[in-house]
Amino acid sequence: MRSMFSEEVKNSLGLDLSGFKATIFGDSAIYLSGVGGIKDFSKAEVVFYLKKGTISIKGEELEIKKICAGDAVVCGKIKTFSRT
Amino acid sequence: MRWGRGGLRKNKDFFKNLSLFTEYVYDGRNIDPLINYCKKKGVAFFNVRRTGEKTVRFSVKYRDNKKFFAITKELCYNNITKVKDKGVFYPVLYLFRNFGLLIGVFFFVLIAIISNDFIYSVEYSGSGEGLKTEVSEYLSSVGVKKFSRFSSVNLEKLEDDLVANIDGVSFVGIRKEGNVLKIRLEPSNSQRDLVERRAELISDVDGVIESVKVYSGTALLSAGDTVKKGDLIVGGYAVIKEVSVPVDVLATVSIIVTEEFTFYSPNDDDEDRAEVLAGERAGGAEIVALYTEKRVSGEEYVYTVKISFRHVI
Repeated sequence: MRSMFSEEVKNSLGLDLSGFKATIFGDSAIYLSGVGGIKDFSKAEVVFYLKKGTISIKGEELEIKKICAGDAVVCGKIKTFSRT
Repeated sequence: MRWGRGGLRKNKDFFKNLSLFTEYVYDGRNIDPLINYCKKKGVAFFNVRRTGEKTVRFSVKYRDNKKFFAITKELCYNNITKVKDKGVFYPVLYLFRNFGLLIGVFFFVLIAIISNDFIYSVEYSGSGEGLKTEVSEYLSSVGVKKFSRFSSVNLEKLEDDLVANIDGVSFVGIRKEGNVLKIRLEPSNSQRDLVERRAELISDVDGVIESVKVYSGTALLSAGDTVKKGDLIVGGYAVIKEVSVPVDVLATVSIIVTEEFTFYSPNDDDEDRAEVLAGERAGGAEIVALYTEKRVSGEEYVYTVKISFRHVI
């Protein structure tokens, strides 16, 4: 059903819903799907590889709550979130 | 969270998998390749955080430990130290790892349950405690004794049976207190009245009557009267409307008896010893008065102890 929805959106709107997604919960957590591995991480910054480019999350006391397959959850005081 | 076909089942696994983890510490700067490689191989990392410049703490699902070790060996990560196992189900894991402890705990609980069921002693209380011999014999006849089991005894029925089968018992209360069977006995009224009955009360000593208390019978002497051994003090009759009716004597008489004891000793300071010996000769009765005289006779001393004691009939 989800793939049908994605197909429909792609056909009618020309948007590709597969690939990288990010869901931010307030300023304390961020859920990412479609990420590759970790490029770098510290308490102040976590950088993930994407299919194209990287994604950087900056803040304080950052912690990777979970990382497996293509999903990751980062918790802490999140200040900025940027894609390069 | 994902819902839909298979989504609910996946969510169940997600919570189940969170219940047991192993925490590790890595000392080095190259944790990223390890995490990425493990991620590709299906080993998830949890709570990854830097605790120092070169130190990283993380957790892995307990069931992935084998795979994780294989990967670290393959990639030559030698400076990874296990910190602890943790999670909601860690106590269960601990018990299974220490199987002997689990068996010990099991047997301890079993023995505690079983031993609590055994009667180690029987205690009696109440005004009818004097009937405990009969009660004890009855209990033995129905199989209730030391080391028999509480679970095989119906305490309420036993109470009823004791009242029905033991003469002189009006009430029985039985309860379990730890491993002790506590029995409270209350006698019937006929038992309360049971005392020694006599036809008359005769003095068995010489002395002076201190007091006479008569509950049944007729007092023939009173306080202050001198009495000799064999004298009748309380008669076994009562005068009712000028008619003499025989009754059992119920009375208490207190007589002050005075005697002299003589002791010989080579020492001139043996008064105390003489008084003690005199007290013993008086049969250990309550001493009312004591007077000691000392005189010399040849090469020894003569102690004369005059002792007055209370004799109760």
